[in-house]
Amino acid sequence: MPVPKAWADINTPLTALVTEENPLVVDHFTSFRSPYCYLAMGRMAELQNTYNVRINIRVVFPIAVKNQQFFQDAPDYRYLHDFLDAIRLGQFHEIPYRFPVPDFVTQEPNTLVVSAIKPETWTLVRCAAAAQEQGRAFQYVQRMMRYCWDGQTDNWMDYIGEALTAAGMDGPAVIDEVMANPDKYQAIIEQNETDLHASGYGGVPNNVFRGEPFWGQDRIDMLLWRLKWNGLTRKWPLVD
Amino acid sequence: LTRLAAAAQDQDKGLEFLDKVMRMMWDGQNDNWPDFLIEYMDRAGMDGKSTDADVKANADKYDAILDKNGADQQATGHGGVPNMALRGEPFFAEDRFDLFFDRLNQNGLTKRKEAIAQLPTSSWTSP
Repeated sequence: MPVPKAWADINTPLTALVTEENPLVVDHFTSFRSPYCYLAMGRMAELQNTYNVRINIRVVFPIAVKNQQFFQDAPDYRYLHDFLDAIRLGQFHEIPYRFPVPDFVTQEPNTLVVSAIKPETWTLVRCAAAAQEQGRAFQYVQRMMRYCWDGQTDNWMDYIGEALTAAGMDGPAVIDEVMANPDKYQAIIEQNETDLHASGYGGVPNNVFRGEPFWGQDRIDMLLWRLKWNGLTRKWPLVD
Repeated sequence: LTRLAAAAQDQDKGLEFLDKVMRMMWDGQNDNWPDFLIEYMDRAGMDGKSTDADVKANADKYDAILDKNGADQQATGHGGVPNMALRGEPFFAEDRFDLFFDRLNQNGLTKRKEAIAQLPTSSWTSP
């Protein structure tokens, strides 16, 4: 297999001065059903709030939607291990954590067979595509991630409009638009999927910087190390 | 190589064996790791030559140890490596080391008064 070009550039750091106007740019690929994506989201926000880095949030569909066989075909320990691992990682990183209620798909707990996808899951994800188009993806996705995962609210589907509005968009109008033009937003998600794979790793969360993938919520520290090596600077908050 | 590691485990020298042999193979200073196994077992505090002869004569004994390792690994709930298991809880992958260390501390981990003579930190620079 050919090595992605970006990996060949790793040894050549950027030299431009990094400022608020000229930040480093990272693509962050994420999925609403991934516990690890939820666990990464707050730390990504912290990164952007602290440093001169712009993080483009790009949502893809859950693996259970893309490949309904995935969890059946994975090693038998995979699902349960990750289920338990995410709970303790939430404790370790001091992030409130509870699996979303309701789930985004209908999955039989013993066989892990995915038999149906909730209709609202399509809306949830396509609204992220609409937010991405308007440059408000981070604002929308971080809010929905919390409605889904932080344990304070059930029925995340009731909060999509609210999250869009809080993210600086016209919530009801975005939902109407997404419902009327699903193909347009589906295409944005598919482009995200293509670019994710082009990075050299197809899993999420995946931070891609200069084409190099940093897969997993446990590679955020390595991403930061790489950003610093490319001249990352801190934001300079003014004293009131 | 793998059976020698089982022999090291049998001799209660598993960590010492890995410490010497893994680095000899991976740190870039040596090609042709098979040529160095006996020497690095000696450095790990084993009798390299006699261990090698024993492993060649009793392959089944050491394969049984490796099979048992595999079974115990699966029983932790994760079949990948590296995997640390503490009180039956798996800590899979080198990026769970911080979580593993945190759990050790929760369970009352204390520091040694002195470093283990067998595993000096300075050995990272000269094997």
